[in-house]
Amino acid sequence: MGEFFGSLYCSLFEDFFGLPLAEYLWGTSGAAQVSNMFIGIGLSMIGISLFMCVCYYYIIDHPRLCNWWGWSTFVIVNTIINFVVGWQWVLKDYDAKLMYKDDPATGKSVPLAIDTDNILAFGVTNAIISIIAFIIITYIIKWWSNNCSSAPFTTLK
Amino acid sequence: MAKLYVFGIGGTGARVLRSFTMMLAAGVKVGVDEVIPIIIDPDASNADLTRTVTLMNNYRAVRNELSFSQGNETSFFRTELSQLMVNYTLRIQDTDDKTFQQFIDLPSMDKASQAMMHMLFSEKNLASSMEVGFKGNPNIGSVVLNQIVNSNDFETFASNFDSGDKIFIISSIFGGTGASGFPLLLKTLRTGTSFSNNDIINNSEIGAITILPYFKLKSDDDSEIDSSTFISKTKSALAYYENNISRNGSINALYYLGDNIAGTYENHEGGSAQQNDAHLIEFLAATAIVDFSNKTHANTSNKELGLRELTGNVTFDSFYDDQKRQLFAPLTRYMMLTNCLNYKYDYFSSMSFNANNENFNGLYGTSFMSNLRSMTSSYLEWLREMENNKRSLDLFNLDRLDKPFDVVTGISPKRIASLKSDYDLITARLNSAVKKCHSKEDYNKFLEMFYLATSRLMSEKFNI
Repeated sequence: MGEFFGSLYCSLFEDFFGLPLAEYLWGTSGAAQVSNMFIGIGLSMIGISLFMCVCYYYIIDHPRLCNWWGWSTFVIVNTIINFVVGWQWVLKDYDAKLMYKDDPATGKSVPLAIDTDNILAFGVTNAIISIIAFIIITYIIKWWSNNCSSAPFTTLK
Repeated sequence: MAKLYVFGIGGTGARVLRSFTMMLAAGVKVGVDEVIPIIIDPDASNADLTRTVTLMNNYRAVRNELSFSQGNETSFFRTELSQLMVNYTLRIQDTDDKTFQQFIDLPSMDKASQAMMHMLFSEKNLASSMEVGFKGNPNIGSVVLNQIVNSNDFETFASNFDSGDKIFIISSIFGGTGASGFPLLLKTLRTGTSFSNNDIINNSEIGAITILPYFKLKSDDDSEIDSSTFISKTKSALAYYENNISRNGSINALYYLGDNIAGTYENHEGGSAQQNDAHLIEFLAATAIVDFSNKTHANTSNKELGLRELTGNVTFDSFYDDQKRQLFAPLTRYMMLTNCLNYKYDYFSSMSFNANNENFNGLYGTSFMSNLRSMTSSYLEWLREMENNKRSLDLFNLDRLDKPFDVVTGISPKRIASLKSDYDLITARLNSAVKKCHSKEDYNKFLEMFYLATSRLMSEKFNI
């Protein structure tokens, strides 16, 4: 699963949020953090998107939202939440000064080449992937909705 | 499959049939599968009659598209309304462009007969044109209507009659056509032998409603109808009915209906100008037909209708429990359908309405839908006329169509735990109901969807 999420994030967006951060999240940067962080972030992203989708199609399931803009509203909210989650998840480690590795030459702890812009870019990445996830989940679960099964586009049904 | 033949005599008969048709459309339960209206009115251009004929044609146009497959419990338009005669009207010969004396051929009578005629009929009666009916003169009607038994239309009725079928006669007691036509028709049905199935018809279950004066007419010297004579004519007719109908057991159920509060209408002798607004009394008369169809009457029963209270306008709460139970749910369900197809038609005919996405392709452009919408518009018009009439029948808040559950006068809907309200709640119930429909064809499915959804809403909002 770690491989799957890692590949998902890195195959398209590694250049966007930077190789050092990718290595840190893989747990291969040499820092104290050695676990694959993509699993937690990816599962959160899927979980949040699934929850938002279920809210739209089954919990709220409101006739007035059965249109492209009703669906888009939920996409936007989902995107914002996932942006904040992805950004803060990584920023927490940055603020806790965990993004350091030991320099074998000096034996001193040196910071990884990661700055706040990289972390912000990762938040955006998480947000973009959550849009794709929301669309996929939409076309899996929408059919059984009472009031919104034709959203976002009736012609695509 | 039992049939109910409903004879509507005169203008009142046509107006009661209008109310009865509305009840059938709403799905008020009647004890027969098929209703066959037969109007007896020499005034074929009477606007009350033409409006009723139009409504019944409209009903049939909708009903003919429906099939009610097994499992489909929809009550809207459930009862079949059949047409036996042109314009549902039993034609009365020789009344067009003729005066009464021409009809009876007075000049050709011998002197003794002419003297008798002059004793029984005033000069005004004899010179009266019958083109627009008998203008409140039952003595004329009792002569002219004697011929109906010999008409082809009556034979059509008789030959169509089967064992187990019932007959109901609607008439007013204070006019001309109804007051004279009812006892004549009843006598023919009970004792006539010159038509097909006469033995079955003679012994069939027959009910009738006789409507006592419930409106007045403005005084008009040019009109032959004077509403100040309504009461005296009623008294005479009641005495006649007592001796010749009730006491001799010739009828199974005789309903009496009247009110001491009466509105005043324009004085029109007949024709296209005679279009009276729908009235509470006609509504209640239609419930008499419903009552008769649902019960069996072995011996003569004389029935009157009481209301729980009569302090102001009549509402659902004015009815006793049985009658309220009979009317409240179907009329309210139909009101919700009406609101959706009038107030919110643009939405419900659009793709925004989720149920439309896998169903009802092309339905909204069909004649079925235009006929159905026409029926619902007529329903609103009918309700509004009764509300504005005197005494007012105020069943629904017709000015609060934006609040579909506040629509019943004097009854507050229950609150339910839902994120949806008003039309959104109706929409949600419709979207849910469309998946539970047994019907396959769009027309049936559309009405079944509304029936299931509104039934659920009646339970949720009104504990019905």
